[in-house]
Amino acid sequence: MAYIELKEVSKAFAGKSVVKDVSLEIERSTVTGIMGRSGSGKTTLLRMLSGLETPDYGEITIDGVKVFSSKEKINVAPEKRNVGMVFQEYALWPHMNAGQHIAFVLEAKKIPSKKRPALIKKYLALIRMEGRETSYPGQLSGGEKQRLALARALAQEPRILLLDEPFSSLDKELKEGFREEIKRVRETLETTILYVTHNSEDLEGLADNMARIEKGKIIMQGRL
Amino acid sequence: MSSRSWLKIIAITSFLILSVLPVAYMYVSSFNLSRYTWIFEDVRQQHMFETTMILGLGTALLCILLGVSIAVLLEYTDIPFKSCLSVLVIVSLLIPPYIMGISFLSFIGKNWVTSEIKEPNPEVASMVRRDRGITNSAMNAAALQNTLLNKTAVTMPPVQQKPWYIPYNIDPYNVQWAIVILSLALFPIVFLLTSFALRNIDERMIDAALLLRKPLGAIWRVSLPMVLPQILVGGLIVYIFAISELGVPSVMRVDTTTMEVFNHFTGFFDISQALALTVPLAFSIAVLILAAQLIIGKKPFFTVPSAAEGRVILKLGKAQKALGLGYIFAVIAVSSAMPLGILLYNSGLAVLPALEKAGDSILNSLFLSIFCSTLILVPSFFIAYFYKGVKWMDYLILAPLIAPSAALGIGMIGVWNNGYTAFVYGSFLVLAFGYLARFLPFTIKTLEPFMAQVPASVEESGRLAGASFTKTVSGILAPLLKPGLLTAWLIAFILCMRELDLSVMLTPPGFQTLPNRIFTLYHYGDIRTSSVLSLFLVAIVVVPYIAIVFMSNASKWHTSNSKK
Ligand SMILES: Nc1ncnc2c1ncn2[C@@H]1O[C@H](COP(=O)(O)OP(=O)(O)O)[C@@H](O)[C@H]1O
Ligand SMILES: [Mg+2]
Repeated sequence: MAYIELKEVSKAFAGKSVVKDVSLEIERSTVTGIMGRSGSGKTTLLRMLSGLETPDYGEITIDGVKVFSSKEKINVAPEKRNVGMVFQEYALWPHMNAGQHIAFVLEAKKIPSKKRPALIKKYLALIRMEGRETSYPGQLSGGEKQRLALARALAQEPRILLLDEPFSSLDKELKEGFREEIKRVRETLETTILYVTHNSEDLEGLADNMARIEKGKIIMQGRL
Repeated sequence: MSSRSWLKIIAITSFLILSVLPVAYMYVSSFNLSRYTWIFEDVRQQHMFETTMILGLGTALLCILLGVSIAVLLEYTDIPFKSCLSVLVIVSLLIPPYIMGISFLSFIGKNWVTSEIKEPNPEVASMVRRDRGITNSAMNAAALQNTLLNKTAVTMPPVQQKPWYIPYNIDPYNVQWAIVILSLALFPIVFLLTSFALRNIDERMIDAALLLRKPLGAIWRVSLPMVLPQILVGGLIVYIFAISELGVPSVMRVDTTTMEVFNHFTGFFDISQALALTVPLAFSIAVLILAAQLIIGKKPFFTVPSAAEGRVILKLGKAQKALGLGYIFAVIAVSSAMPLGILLYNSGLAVLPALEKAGDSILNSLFLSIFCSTLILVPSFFIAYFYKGVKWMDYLILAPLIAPSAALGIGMIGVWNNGYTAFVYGSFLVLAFGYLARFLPFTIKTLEPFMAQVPASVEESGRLAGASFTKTVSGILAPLLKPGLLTAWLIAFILCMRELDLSVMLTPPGFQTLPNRIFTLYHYGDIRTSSVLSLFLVAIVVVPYIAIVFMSNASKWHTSNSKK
């Protein structure tokens, strides 16, 4: 059985079908890239995996446990799924500095407060932002914001890491850097990673598997 | 000079002339040091000052509790009748607080005695009457308080027995109950500011927290801290209203410094003593602003507003829904339904005769309030914009609030009935200027947190694109600040519609406002007509409020669709 399984998952907004009968199987510790045009339903798909959006139909299983089933009326709350997500525009919290972002996650994970400072250092080092604990999002550059969003997701030690268009607003150099970042995460933490993009170049050299989504339907999937 | 610098100068000068000058004029022209030292030697004064502080702080805290909790319920949960409730919740702001006090007292079966506010001494009055018409205004203001209190007393049947629904004897004549009553009247201010601010949060920021915490935790730790500046501004406005309130403390028999100020004003015509008494109150406001700044800290609250979609974040169970509904209904019942019921009872539904007698005052108030609340946005916008983060400005903005409205009124007469400016005093403009003077600090403070959320880059990108400053403002800043401007407009409109103290003092010939007419009718014993008019007042403010709630819902839908 695959690590993540989506079975005929569908979602409509106000009668307009946005994701249609999507079925996907993703193996543990792999990197999967999902490609599709803007408006094809990529973000909605990720949000349904994380539990932020409730599908209308279908079934989602993670690590053998059903987290959603329309038939059996199962819907595990997002905070219980342990899925990390890097949002498209990062969604950092403007009133918290970098250290507080990580601390918020650690606290939610019930890590005792004595252990937190060391972990905050560790995660900031992981994204090469040592010593930036007290910087607020408003004081960070675009690339730094994205790395902080990544660190926030990683500090959660998520089973699955979802990245929504991680490359779309980065220049070539930053993009290369962030690809390396993701590869490193994958090797060191063995997280299962899913990212979406509207650019086929973003798949090469990073993804093990890919899928193509068009108008809410998966029209192609395979290994790279 | 560039249009930018011109605007900056115009904004600050108009603020200084409109708001600061009349108040400064009063304090400077009546300064007398011995009056200040006296306050510190008098034990009774100190006691009253303490009571006033307790009243102000207690009311601010309770309003934050009520306003924020109801805002969260209505913005984030799937509680039924949302839009209907969010309209009902603000009604209490439009009912004069003393009516609320009186209806509460009669509800629990208490009589209330006439106030102890001093009647003007006629001999002294005629002596000073020559003094620029000031005395007349002061007499009006004193008559106002006495009438409001006495006439209402007459209309309420005396109750001697404890009603069956009150389990034990309540002693309502203390500062605690005054806090409760005032909070019920003023909490919509915090509610309005908080709910408009919550609506303005990028919903993905909440999503990011929802991955880690239960909805309540996400709201508590992420949403509320993000709107903390708006919550604190709400608390501050409430505090200022609470410490300047006369009606509730007098029906609840709580002696406050503010009543003492009024007595010195209108009973003894001792203006310099009255003003000296307001200085410690002003000081307390400054201390609170400082405290708020320390709490908020230097955090750069940069987030480009991208409206949330009114999504349900917190799903309530059946029992929770019932509990939440019960809570909001209870608040609405005691804060609006009860006093409205009394107004309705007194009105005898005599709508047409009332319109015949006072239709013009309704139009006057509507015109004046729309005029002022629209005009006030211009200086508010530019002051909030140009003086973003300028510390001394934070204090200057609140300077006009230190004087009670009666003092401001007298200052207005001094400044605007003076040679070349006399044309202002003779027309409705004097009222318009008075409202601008009184409410500018509130609208500026309301806009500030919204302004702080717009990152510099948003505006810079516009300027780099070659847009002129005015174009950048009209094309980028103003649309981005629409939620803030709407909130400020609405708050100004409500405040103008319900304003009474200044109207009484500054009424130009042939231009009576609705609250003023309500008061006059009360004065001559026409309780019926004045009750009908009070109900009209409520209705008039509820309509634009509903329109704004719907408009902001519609624009949310618009942005969410165009985004994708
Ligand atoms: N909450 C929502 N309400 C209404 N329509 C939505 C909502 N979320 C997404 N949509 C619509 O669903 C479609 C797919 O959106 P999305 O998943 O964001 O696409 P992508 O991420 O591939 O660009 C779009 O047409 C969008 O307008
Ligand atoms: Mg998307």
